[in-house]
Amino acid sequence: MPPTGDASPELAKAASAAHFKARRLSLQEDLERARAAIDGLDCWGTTLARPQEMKLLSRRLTPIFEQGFHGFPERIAETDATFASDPGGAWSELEQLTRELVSRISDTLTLVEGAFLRASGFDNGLCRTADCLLDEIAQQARIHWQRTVLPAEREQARPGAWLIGWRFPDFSIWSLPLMAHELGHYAVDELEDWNRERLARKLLDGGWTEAEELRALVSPTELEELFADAFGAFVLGPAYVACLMWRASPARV
Amino acid sequence: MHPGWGSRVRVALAIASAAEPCAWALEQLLVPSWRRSLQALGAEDPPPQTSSALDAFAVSALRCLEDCSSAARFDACEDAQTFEDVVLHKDAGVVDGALDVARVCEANGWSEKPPGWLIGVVLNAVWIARMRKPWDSDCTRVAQTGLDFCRVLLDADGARR
Repeated sequence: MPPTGDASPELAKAASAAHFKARRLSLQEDLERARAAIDGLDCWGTTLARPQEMKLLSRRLTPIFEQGFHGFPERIAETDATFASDPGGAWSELEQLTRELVSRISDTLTLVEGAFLRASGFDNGLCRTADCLLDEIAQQARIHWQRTVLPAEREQARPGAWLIGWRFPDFSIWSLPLMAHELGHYAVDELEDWNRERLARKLLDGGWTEAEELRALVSPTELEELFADAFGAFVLGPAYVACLMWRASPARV
Repeated sequence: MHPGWGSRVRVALAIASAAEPCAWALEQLLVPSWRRSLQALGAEDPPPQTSSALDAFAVSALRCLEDCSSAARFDACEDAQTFEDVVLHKDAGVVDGALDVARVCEANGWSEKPPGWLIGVVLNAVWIARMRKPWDSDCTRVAQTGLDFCRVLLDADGARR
């Protein structure tokens, strides 16, 4: 029988509670499915060219997932208790949680998609090679970031997802030096001198007088790009400069 | 947002020329190549008013990097010259196959180095080879050889773990 719109207050309350519960469960299920996607990596890869990659990635990605989603199951569960006394507040909290989860679930999709592409061998093994190269650089530079290189829509450092994207579908060794540039973006806030002073950030924020003239000409974002280039050239040498020149368009100097 | 390519290349060249032991690669390959690219299009280096500021920034960035990470400088490029000589001059220009490259590395005592370090060597070797003969289709084989070698390294490293 279709609803008539004149249900009793008890029925309306029950319907409202059911609606809230359905949304809360939906959010919990999103979270569980995202976790299952990461958890399943090490057993889904059996028909892929490089199934061992899935085990490796599973080990690297699981802690990232745990950190990114830390506290969410508890917060979602708490909304249920709040609903009994404050339905409006509970809905607001549920909306807030949904908004917060969207970007993390999007990151999870990128991680899982990238992991499959990487394990399929489509990337010519270059993401694995890049991870190995960056591990070495990060160790030498004392940059503590257990990021993973995965295919993505563009080259990009995403510290929140512990991810460096390798631009799909450009899987040639010629682009490998660009990964050092992406690590350079993270290095801006990580590099410390022996006195634990963060000099790179100081350089970009204006605490370093020599760069004063340039700050008047370029934006802080552009300055960070230049620093990441400096980092890439410093840690890789001619290969980085050559790669940058090859990527550059002289029509846009 | 990205600054112009000219600014980016200028800063990278300044860092590499100041910090990089492999200066010949810059003098003979990189700088002339960039100038040729610009001249072919009638373009110039970054406008003069920004040049001195870019150079100052590069100097500051270099000081910062050296202060922060005395060990971070990737000395792989120093050995790249040796590696590149071998790659280019053996067997009519290109080493044929990853195993040959691996043997070259062993002969140079590089096999004990971490795989990430060796990948840096290979990367510099293949890029220097390409900059020397950008028109040569052998560049594709150089890249493939380099890539195969990286895979051999990583598989060996994976098996060790």
